[in-house]
Amino acid sequence: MKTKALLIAAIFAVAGAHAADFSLSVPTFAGNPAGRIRVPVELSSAAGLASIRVQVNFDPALLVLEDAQAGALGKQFEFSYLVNAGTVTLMFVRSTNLVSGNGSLAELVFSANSGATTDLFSDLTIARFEVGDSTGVVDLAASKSLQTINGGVQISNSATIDNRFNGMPDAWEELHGLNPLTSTAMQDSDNDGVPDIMEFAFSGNPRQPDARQSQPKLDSATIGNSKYLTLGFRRPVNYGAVIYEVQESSDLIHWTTRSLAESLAASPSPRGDGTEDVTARASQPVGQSKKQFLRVRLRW
Amino acid sequence: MDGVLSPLFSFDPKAPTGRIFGSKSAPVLGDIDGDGDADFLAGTEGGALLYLRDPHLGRPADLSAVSGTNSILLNWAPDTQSRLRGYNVYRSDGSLVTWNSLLTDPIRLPTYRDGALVSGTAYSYRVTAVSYAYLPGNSTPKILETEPSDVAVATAGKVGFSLLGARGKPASYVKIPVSIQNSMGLRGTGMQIAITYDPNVLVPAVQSDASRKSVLKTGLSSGLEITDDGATANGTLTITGVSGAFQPGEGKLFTLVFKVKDSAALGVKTSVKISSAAVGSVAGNPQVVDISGSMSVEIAAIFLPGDVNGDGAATDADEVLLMELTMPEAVPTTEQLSAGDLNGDGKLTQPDVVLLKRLLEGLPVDESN
Repeated sequence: MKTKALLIAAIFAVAGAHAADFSLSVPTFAGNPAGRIRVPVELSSAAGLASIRVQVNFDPALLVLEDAQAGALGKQFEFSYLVNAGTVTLMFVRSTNLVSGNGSLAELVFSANSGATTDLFSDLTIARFEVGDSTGVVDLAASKSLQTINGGVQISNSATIDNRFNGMPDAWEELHGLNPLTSTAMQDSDNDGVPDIMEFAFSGNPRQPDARQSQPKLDSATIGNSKYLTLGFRRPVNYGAVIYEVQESSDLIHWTTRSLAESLAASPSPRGDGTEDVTARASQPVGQSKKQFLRVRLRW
Repeated sequence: MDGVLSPLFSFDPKAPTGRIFGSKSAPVLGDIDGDGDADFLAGTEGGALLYLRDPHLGRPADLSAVSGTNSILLNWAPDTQSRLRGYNVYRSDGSLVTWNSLLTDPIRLPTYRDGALVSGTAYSYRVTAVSYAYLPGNSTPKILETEPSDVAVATAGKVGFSLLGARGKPASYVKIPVSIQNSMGLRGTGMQIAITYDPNVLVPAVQSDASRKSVLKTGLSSGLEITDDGATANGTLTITGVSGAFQPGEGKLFTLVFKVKDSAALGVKTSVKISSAAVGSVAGNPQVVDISGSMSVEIAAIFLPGDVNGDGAATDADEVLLMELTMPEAVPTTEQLSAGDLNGDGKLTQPDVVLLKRLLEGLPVDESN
């Protein structure tokens, strides 16, 4: 029932956001002190536009704008920007009206003040939003509705901030040259057959084809007087929203799922480098069934 | 401030905060202006007062009011404060004593169109910025409103026309923009604009080349059916509206195309002006027309629209320069404004860059000619 209520609320929110002909929005994201925060500037529709001008205000005592980059939609235009104390002006022009398009106009790349504490917040306020067509003279705002939705940056000490909820912490993505705003869990950046979410979950490197090193390894261990099939892997100490589950089967068709906590052969062993070694075991000792198979399932 | 001032006080972190600072002999740190930021107040040996406060919260600047048929369009410079919530707009009927708020909630963007006004009446406007601050221990924000902006005045039911300056080479065609300040709500029927020029220097394009038009429509006039007497004009070119409605906007309404006579001497400035204009609203009401002065066409060896850097050609370099000149706080020269203001609104803005891109790509910026 609670889930249903949330869904209905979400549908209304989306409907409201698209009521205007041109709705420009900036979300509220979290960021670490001294950390990098990428914030998208998104437009509901750019159909019929040849010029867009946006000013976003931020708190310069808390945030430094390192860069502004054209997003997927912004790349349909020629893009330039200007930073002044606490403001960034984004300009997009093209010679003809865009037929259709929506999404990310720009990405604002901020770094947060290293001394920022978790109670600090900077509004990201859209202070200017102008659109024009290829005539250069028609006032589109006279016949079209423009809407702005402001956002902000909340300082947080969380080590696993994942503003786009793709399962991979933004800081880990930045560290490995992935864009937290556009990368997806199932993309395979190094083409080694291992999706990036698995690279993160098993402490691999999404930029190096290291599939073998980062995959869980099958082994066995004697626990008490019994020998068990085990599956060992390395994972980040701060694994964020990733949920590890252990599945076992005797025929590779029917699988039984247990939580990792239920399946641990021993407490995880920290390596001291932000990762830890984890060993899961089968629920039954070896020999109680003809065949045993173990695997790890990830959810996020 | 000249010289170095010796501070009368040393900074004392235990100084009491708040607004009661008149009798203090120590600097005061507190939210003196009530905007949620810590402000600092101290005196100097010379009797001067040092007062450091949040520099971003400011009253709105550059308020302009542009007349329309039955509306007035307001624009002002956007605030630079991140806690900006929006703006309140106030109107006075002329007394400047009573100011009525036009909004129930602040508007977020620095533009407002005041509609349903009485034609011929002058209205005064001023705008305030509204921001908010979370004071320590409070979960609800404190709403703060700045001092009002300077007053801007406009009269409803008034339409402003103007001609923009141009340069032309002997034996070449020159384009002269006819601009309008606010075209919203106007109709083509009954429109008549007469432009006078010196027939010894300029001739309407159609008289030189029958395939050329002397009056080109723009985005604002694209929905109008018009006629002109360019084929027979001799000193006065008249544009007559037949039907249709204006598109809303500001800037170039028509582009006049003349040929500069071969005999025109370099350096000569020949006067071109709107001698009369009449236009009515969509509802059929005649409008008061305000014509802004006259302009001149300077006969020059080199001139190209879009040649913002003045090197004799419109190129990508001009586009780069024009883009820079549209940035906040950029101040173009008269020559740069003349060459870069392709949409004829008297400013260098992003739409000018759009039109320059079209020019460079061989796309029409007016009707093709």
